[in-house]
Amino acid sequence: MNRVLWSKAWHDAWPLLTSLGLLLFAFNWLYVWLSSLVELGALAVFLSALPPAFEQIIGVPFSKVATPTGRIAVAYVDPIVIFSAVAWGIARGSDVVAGELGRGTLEMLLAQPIRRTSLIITHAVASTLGALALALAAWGGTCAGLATVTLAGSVDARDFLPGALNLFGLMVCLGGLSTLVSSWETLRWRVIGVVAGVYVVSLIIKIVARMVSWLDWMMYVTFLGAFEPQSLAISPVDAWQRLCVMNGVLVGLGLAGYALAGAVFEHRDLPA
Amino acid sequence: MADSLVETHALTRYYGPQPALLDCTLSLPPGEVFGLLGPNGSGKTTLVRLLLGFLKPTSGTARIQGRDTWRDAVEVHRLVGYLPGEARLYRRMTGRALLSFFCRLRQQNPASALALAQQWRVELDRPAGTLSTGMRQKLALALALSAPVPLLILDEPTSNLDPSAREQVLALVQEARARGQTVLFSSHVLEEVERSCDRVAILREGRLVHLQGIAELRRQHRIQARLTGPLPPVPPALAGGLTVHAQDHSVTLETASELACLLSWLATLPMTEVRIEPVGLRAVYEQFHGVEPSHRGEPA
Repeated sequence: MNRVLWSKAWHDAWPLLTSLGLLLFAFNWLYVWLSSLVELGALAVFLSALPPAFEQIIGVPFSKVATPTGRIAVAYVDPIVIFSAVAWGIARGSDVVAGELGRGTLEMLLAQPIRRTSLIITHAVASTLGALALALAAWGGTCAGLATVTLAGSVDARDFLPGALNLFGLMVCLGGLSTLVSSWETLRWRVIGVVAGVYVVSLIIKIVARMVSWLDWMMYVTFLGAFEPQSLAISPVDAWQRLCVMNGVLVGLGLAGYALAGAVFEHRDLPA
Repeated sequence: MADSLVETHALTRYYGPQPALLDCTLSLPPGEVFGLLGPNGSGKTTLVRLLLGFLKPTSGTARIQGRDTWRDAVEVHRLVGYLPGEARLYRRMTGRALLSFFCRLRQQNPASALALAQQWRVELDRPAGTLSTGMRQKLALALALSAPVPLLILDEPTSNLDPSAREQVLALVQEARARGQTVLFSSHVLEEVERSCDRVAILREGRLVHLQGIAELRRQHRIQARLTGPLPPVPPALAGGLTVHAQDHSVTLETASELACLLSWLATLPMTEVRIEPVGLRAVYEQFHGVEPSHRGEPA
């Protein structure tokens, strides 16, 4: 890995990393505090009034959501957290080739004696470490919330770590997929559109697989089938084993994306 | 040619069914300033990008110091300083940070690039995005020209520059040649190419249609005159390098050899209103990329 490219990759990444890290930390802290304001009994009544389909969409039994751990675990699939994770993965991945090409800066960069694959590897490592930092920031927010807010029952902060690491897996997966699309594209916005489209289709497949029992096999078709941070938090007994399988899929897909991106980028033309 | 720095053989590149460069065979020795001429779409940029390993040839080969430009691109980039046609730089980086960044990538001391940029009064502590196009061009030029490499590829190096900076760039190209660097110089400004280059290639529709040595070109003159009597036959000693077009009462003589040999014979001819001018690169260029007479500068 090239040290000069490495320092530039961090220089490029830190504004987004810092802002998303602060957002995730603050949001998860706030989520714990807001959860403490909701009475568990009232929440259970509210949840029982919802149609059963909602339970299937959330992917966690309502009885588990109406526990202190369950309430906080839902933070990891909250739209704000998901948006932050998706933003990191797609923003970083789309920038590596298509972004530089679109801005016209890739030409000067690749006229220097650096391997094209070093550029991909440096971005991959910086994005992956950034994803880990963001996942830990989210978990840190939960820990800070649990340390400063009094909850009705006892909650162990360690129960949320597998969920946070599952979030890390999602970011690696999206980073790899975005880098792969970026490696053959010339327009960054097209990369964002393609990967966002893949994400939405995968989400729809996941929802359909959950709601229609005879289509449950579709859960294996979508990478989001391996993203269940809330269920990891509420079932801590086998959480680490399940995390290994889930992150094996997500991180594996992400790394495969980066590897393929390296191969595609190595052999592609650089248009003027 | 064993001692060539740059060598292309039947280099061809298609974009889909569209040919961009066809069968280009070139050889550039060390220490030569080589001009690349042609209108937009003639294949200049494709040739430059093939030499930099940005494009894979459809067929043929391109080598720099014996290394294949596509397969050994990293090694080739160690040998090449490059100025793109439109220098786009990282907008948030300051000029100083940019020069330092690119020099560190080359494991090169940035002192000479910084000195060159300071000589051109580039504000090095401002982000590149806030600099004018000309200033950004100067930054990229400082980077390319300060690289201690055997080959400089400069794509329209003087575009966007003020007249004094243009002169400095052309002087730096001459200095590079004096140091033994080869310079591949693409430009639309024929006068600059004629002044700076040792040899030029003219491209048309992807084909290399003409190679011209500038020293040879400088020897070529055109003499136009009005005849006041019949034109005598050309002496055999001069006939080899002389073409004569006589029509009615006017005559045009073109010589490819030294003018001095011709002058004594010219003095004996029944002519008036004699005008002697160098043929110049424009006339050669217009043979291949002719413009409408109304668009010409002066009548030939």
